[in-house]
Amino acid sequence: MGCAAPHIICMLNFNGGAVGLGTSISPLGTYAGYLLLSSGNFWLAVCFLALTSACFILVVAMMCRYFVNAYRQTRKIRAA
Amino acid sequence: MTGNLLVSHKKLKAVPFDARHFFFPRRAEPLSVPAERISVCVIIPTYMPSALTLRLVRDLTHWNPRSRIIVVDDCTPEHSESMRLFDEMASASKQVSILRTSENTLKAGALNFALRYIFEEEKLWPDAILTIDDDVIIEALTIRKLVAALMSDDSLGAVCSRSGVYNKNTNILTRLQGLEYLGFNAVRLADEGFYRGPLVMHGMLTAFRGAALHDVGGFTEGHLIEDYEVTTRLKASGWNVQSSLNARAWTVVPETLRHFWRQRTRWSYGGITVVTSATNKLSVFQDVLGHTIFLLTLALVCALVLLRGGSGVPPYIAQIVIGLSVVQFVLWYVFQLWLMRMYEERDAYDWLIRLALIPEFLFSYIMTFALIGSYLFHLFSKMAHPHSGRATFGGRCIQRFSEAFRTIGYTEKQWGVRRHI
Repeated sequence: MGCAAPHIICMLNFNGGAVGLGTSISPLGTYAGYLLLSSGNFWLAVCFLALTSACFILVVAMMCRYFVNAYRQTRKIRAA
Repeated sequence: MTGNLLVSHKKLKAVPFDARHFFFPRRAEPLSVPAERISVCVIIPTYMPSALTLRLVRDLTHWNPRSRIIVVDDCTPEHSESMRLFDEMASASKQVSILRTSENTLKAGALNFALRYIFEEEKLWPDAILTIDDDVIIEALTIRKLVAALMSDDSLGAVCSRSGVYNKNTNILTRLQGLEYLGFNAVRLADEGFYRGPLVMHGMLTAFRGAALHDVGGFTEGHLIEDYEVTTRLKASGWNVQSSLNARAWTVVPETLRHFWRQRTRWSYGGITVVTSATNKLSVFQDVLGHTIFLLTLALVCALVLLRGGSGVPPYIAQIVIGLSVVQFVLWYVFQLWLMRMYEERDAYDWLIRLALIPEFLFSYIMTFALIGSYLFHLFSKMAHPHSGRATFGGRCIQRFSEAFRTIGYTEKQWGVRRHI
């Protein structure tokens, strides 16, 4: 039982890495933006805008939850 | 040893899905339980244990004299060097019991073997049951902090430790995994109080409430990642889960790319099987979101490449997409740098890797490829099933694709035991 399986896929790092969102989705988004600049279908562009916005909200929400929980845990540990 | 704090899941309140918890996680109701009233049982499943296992057992007995420790030998070959270690473990303390399975049952089988012994033979009924991998290193207060966190809230079914990498200084791959585990801990903390908590109570070191583990019927044998699977069932049964930041433990991670790839294909494909087989999709909600976004992004980029040549897109839409992607990237990068504050084992090389970004960029793409391979392997496995026994051209092609994936590490039955990695 040499290796644990601590975490596989989570909301932001679907590919198993803590840097997944920053390094996988963002370049794809930037590339898509580049493609859209040169050409593209209007409704595809609208879909991509909606997806990028949803992704952005998820990142902000995750960070928000992290800081709220980190604050609560630190306060609890200090009180103990 | 009979637990007196057992809480049946029937008493638990339902946690309604609340959109506010996306940003502000639910707060647990504090509950104070005296430590001396809590009965604890620790299970260590092992196959061909190493010196680290002996160290773990000695540390556990030394630092937790009231805990019962059950080491499950999953049919290690007799007359091997490991047998001497079992003798030494047994002589470490009267708290230690060594069990042996009649055949190799893999990790979940070994854990269930110990659970049957606890509940049916010994009728111990402990308040907390801890499962620990045999190559884990703990601190003096790790177990006590973990159990205290578990007992601090009646609705908690499991609490996992903060995980670190013991061999992180071996090479760049282990250093990258050290940084990755830092991110795992951060995401687990962020998921606390979000619906029922983090996705996975990792197999490395997790404290389960005895009643919760009994309620869900233990671990599913033959599953690629039993820890994720049991967490899903705990959440579906109404239990919350969380991680404990101050209960620290370290594990040994793969040191070669080959072993690392095998581990990640197992995690990645195992994760997909958990998501697809989960009856309560809310218990794998984060994963459902992650997979959906990933697949939609890939599909849209492919569609954009194929549909190039039009001219009906206002430039501001493209600029907003690029702007949001860049801002998101910068936010995430700054967050990763900020997280380094929590990384107590960090050194100059770790800082260099994180600041340079390129190594982590490449590292994440290995896992993206493992994930894409898992989607395809899952698809071929599902398609191969109805074709089994038929010698049609399509059936033969699908079989060959499945075989090709198996040769590069994908499997439905592999397990993370030492002899396999």
